[in-house]
Amino acid sequence: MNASTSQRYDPRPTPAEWRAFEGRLLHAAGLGSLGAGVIFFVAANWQAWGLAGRFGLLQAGLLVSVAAALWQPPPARVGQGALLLATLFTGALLALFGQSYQTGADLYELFLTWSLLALPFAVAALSGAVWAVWWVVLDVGLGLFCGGLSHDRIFWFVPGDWGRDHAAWLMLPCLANLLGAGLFLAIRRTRFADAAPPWLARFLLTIGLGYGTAASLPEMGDHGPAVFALYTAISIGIAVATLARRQDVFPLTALAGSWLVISTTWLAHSMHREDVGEVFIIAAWLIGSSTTAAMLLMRCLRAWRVPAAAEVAR
Amino acid sequence: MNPLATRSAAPDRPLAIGLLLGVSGWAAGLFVLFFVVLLFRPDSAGQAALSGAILLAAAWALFMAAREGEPVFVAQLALALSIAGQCLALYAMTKGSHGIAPVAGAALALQSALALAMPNRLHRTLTTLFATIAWALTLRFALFGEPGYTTRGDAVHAASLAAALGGWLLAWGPVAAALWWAARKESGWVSGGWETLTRPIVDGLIVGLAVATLASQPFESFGWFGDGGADAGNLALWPLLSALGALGALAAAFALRRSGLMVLCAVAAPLHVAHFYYALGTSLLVKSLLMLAMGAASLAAARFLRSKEPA
Repeated sequence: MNASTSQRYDPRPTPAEWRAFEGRLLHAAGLGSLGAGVIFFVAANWQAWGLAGRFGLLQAGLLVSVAAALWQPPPARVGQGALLLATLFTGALLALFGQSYQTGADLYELFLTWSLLALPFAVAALSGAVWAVWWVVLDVGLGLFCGGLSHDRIFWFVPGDWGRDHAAWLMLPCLANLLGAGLFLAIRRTRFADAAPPWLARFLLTIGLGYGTAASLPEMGDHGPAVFALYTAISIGIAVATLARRQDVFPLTALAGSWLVISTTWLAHSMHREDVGEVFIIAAWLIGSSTTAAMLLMRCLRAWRVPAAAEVAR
Repeated sequence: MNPLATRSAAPDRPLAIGLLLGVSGWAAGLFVLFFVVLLFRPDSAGQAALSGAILLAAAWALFMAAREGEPVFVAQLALALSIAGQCLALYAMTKGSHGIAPVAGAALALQSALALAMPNRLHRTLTTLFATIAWALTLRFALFGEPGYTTRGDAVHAASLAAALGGWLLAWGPVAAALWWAARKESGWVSGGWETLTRPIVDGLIVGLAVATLASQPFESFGWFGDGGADAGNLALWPLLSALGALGALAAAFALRRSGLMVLCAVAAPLHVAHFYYALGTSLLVKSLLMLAMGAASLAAARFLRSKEPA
């Protein structure tokens, strides 16, 4: 059996691997369910418990979580799970406070305050999952603040007030997420590498490029050209850094997707929509550009795999 | 070698690159569709059927030509032609029919046939995914009524808890069973020369079980058109079942060593839980207690498993 064949037909997971997988899956699902249950409970605004009872319950939950993390500190699994719950309890307490006292604060203030208060838990947890939750909280806050998300719709993924002069504002979450991705890539070279799994940097890169893509679309406001130039420079920087590292094609793939969206949107924007030929040109551009991108990416992938495999063999 | 199997053009293509090609191919397909419709104006079912058949035949021929080596451009062009052809063929098949269920049923038949016929890995995965969506929509509206024919929410309110659970299991149980079979018999279908047919179909089923369960309730829960969610009655439990489905898909992806799909499934599960939060029909207090009970049970099970590990 040659090397490529053995790579394609890996053996099935062993019973030990299955046990480890099931344990991790149940642990993650259990923590997620408990956290969601707490948030649902606060949102239910159950009057039978009274205000003091609800505050007491959440504060007790927060204290128990912190105590558990102190008892078995990270990287122990119990400590990491406890700090994940502590992060969620913090948000639930803030939400209950806003719900009960009608502070008049905007929704983005809740999320940004939550991210600030939960930052120590994220740092202490040494866990990619806790960092991911923390970044989601921060991103929702930044998205609401910068107008990238709409707070008056149930389905938050629907773009909010894009189209006003929000291009420059959208670059704030873009830069925050890209800096975060860079930070976690740097952490991977330290003894805290376990707290910065590769998927976390990819996750932040994808969100950052998503915001940058949105900011670079046509008619995004008075600062459109400057924002476009900034995003172009950022993209070139990421591409050069990725090509220099020769390890992971994902950043180039995400960049290709981003610029495919931007270029196609600009192309469609510059055309008269009733022309049959122009519709064909857009289709041809999509096919040609995506094909070229995929071929170049696969070439990089194959070229970079060989040294990586040799490194592993050494 | 079985007659439906083909050489895979890119067996080691990462999920992200496949996604880039799939999404752009789909978008290009829609522009090809506009182009064909504007140019030839196939108004009748017959004209649409002819146009669709020609496009699908051209796509099949291009996929066959692209089997050897890695002519990505040809495959991408074929994907775009196929998407346009599918839309026209579906229009021809369902022109004059009323309601969503017949359209979804026709889409199911079309996608299933194309998943077998089109000799391309990405195309097979996409058509399988759309077949699972069509299957879910067909069952959903055949069993619980169409929106517009009843007051929204009336029909689903009539669904008992048993019917709601049974309906979901009927839709997604076969998909889960197929994945279980595929994981158990993997060595058999690989050594039998069926891998190039089965692997992309299994990928499509994993993605379907992870994310397409949303198709079982396309109109409830979210205010798609700005008027808030409809009361889903007992069907409000479906997003929770969908979260469990995503975890099942995650296990299947683990068994088949599809690491990219594992990430997708892991992202899908909390999104289904967020959907569950918004699903009307069950109080938040009940949902909260359900989640807390499930969380406690899962953590207890994880602890039990750890206690069984050899020291």
